[in-house]
Amino acid sequence: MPYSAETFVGLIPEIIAAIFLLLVLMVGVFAERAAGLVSGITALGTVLIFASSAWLLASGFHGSFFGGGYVVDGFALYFKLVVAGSAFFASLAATRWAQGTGDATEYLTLILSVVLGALLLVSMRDLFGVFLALELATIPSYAMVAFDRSRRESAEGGMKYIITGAVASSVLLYGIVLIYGASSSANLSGVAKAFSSGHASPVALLGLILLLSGFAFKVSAAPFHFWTPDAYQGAPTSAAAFLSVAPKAATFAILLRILVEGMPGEARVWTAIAAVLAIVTMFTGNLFALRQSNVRRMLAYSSVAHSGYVLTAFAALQGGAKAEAVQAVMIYSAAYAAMNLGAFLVIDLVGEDTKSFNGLIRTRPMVAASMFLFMAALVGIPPLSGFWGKLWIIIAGTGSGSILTYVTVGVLVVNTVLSVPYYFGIVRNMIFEEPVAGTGETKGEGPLKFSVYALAIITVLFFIIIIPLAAVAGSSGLL
Amino acid sequence: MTLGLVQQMSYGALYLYVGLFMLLVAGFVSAVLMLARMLSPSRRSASKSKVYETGESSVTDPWRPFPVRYYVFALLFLIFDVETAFLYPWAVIYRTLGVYGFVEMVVFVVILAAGLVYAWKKGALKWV
Repeated sequence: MPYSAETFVGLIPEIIAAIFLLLVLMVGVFAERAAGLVSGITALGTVLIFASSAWLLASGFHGSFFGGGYVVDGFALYFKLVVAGSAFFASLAATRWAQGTGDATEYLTLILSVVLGALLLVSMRDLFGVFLALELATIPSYAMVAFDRSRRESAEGGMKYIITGAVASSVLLYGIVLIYGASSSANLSGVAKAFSSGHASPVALLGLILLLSGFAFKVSAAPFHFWTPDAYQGAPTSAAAFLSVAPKAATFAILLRILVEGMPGEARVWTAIAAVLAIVTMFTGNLFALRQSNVRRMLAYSSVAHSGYVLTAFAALQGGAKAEAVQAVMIYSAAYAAMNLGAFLVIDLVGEDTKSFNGLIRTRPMVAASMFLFMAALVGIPPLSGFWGKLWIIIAGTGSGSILTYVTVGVLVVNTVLSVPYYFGIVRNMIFEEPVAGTGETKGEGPLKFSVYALAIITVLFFIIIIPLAAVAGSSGLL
Repeated sequence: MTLGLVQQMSYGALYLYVGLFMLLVAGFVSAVLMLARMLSPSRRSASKSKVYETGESSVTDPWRPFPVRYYVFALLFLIFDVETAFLYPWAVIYRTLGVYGFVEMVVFVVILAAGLVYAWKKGALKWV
C-alpha cells in the first residue's frame, strides 16, 4: 500500500488546496453572477490551508512519504504558512479588480493553483518532484501576469515572462538531469552521496551551476532578473503583489532544502556562487530602482534587491552560523511577505505613478501611514519587520567565517543605505507635495483596505511575532 | 576485430563516434543542399512565386485574422487524449491495484471532467 492514514494527515493542506481549486472553478462557472461568493470561498480555502498547516506545525508533525520524495517537517510547514497567509491577503485584495474584469473565477483559480504548487514545492525531496511543483506554481503565474486584457503592457509582460521562463525552466531541468545522471538518484539523500566527497564530478558541478541559474531566474536574481520589471509592471497589481511574495518564498525554501540536504559536500562552491549572485543582485536592484518614476516598476526592482538580501543568507550557510543562516531565510521570507505585499496593495489603492502619492497624508492619512510603514520596513528600520530579517542575515554572515561572505554582508549594509532615497522619495511625496485630483476613495475598497491595514499591523508588531517565529525557525529540522 | 577495438577504447572515447556522426550528418546535408543549388535550373516566373494552395490560385490575402475556435477544440481533445493514455495501462493492472487504484483514477477523471464542464459551460463546445 503506497499510502497510510498518516499520508492523508500530512497532506491535508494540499488536499484542501486541490479541493478548493475545483470548488472555486465549479461554483464560479455555475453561479456566474456570484463573484463575491467565489472570492469568499477562495479566502476561506486559504484560511483553512493556513489553519491546517498551523495545526500540523503545532502538533510537531513530521513525516516522509512517497518513498522519501515528499517530506512534511517544520521547515516545510513554516513556508506553507507564509504562502497561505499571503494568498489570503492577495485573494482579498484581488476581489474588487477581478470582479471588474468579469473573470474573477479564473483569476482566483489561478491564485489557488499557484498556492497548490507552492505548497507541494516546499515539501519536495525529489528533484523531479521539485521541477513539477515549480512548474505548477509558475505556469499559472504566466497567465496571471497577462490577465489584464485592457492594458497592452499586461500581454507584453506576460509574453516576456513566459518566453524567458520557458528558457529558465529548461536550464533548470537540464541541471536536474545532469545531477541525476551523476548521482543516479533524484532523491536528495541520494544526491548528497554524489556530492559528499568534496570533489564532485565535473558533470555534477555543471548540473549544480545550471540548477542555480534556473533558480536564480525564478527568484529574479541578477543577471537573470530582466523579466521582473516588465512582468510586474504589466501584471495586475494584486498578481504582482502575490507573485513577488508567495512563489518566491517557496522557491527560496526549496533551493535552501536542495542545497542543504542534497549538496552539503559542495557548500564551498555554492556559497561562493550565492555570494557573487547576491552582490550583483543587490547593486542591480537598488541602482535601477533609484531611477524609476513608476512605483510598481520601482517595487519590482526593489524585489530584485531583496532577493539579493536573501541570497546573502545563502552565502552564509557555512562555518559556525549555518543554523542562523537557515533561520535568516525563514524570518526574512515572512518579514518580506508582509511588507512587500502591503506596499504593492497600497499601489492598488492609490495608483502606480509617483505623482499619485502626492499629498496622500492629507487626502487619505491612514493609507499614507500604512505606506510609510511599508517603506520604512523595506529599508529595514527597527522595530519593523524588514529590520529583523536583515539582522538575522547579518548575524549569520558575521558568524560564517568566510571573507567573501563578510564582503557580501558589507555590500548588504551599503545597499540598505542606497535604497533609502527611493523608498523615502515616496514618503517625501506623501508629506510635502500638493495633492493631485482623483486620488480619493472609490467604491468597494473594503477588503483591499482591510488587507493593507492588517499587513501594516503585522509589519509593526513583527517584534512580537519574531519571538514565536524564531522559535519555530530554530526548530525547523532542516539542520 | 572491430568489437575488440571498441572494448579497448574507454567509455568516454566512444563518444567520438557520436561526434563523427554529427559531422557526417552536417556535411551530408550541406553538400546535398549546395549540389542541388548548383545543378538545378532556376527559371522564375510570377505564377511560380505564388502561395501554394494545392493548385488553386489564392483569392484573398492569407495574412488576416482567423477564428481560434479550432484550437479550443484541439485543446479539449487533448483532455481525452491524455485521459486515454493513462486509462489503458491502468486498466491492464487494475486487478492488482484494487480499491486504491480505483480511487486514484476516480480522482483523476473527476479533475478532467471538471475541466470539461468548465469548457462546456463557457461555451467552448458551441460552433458558431
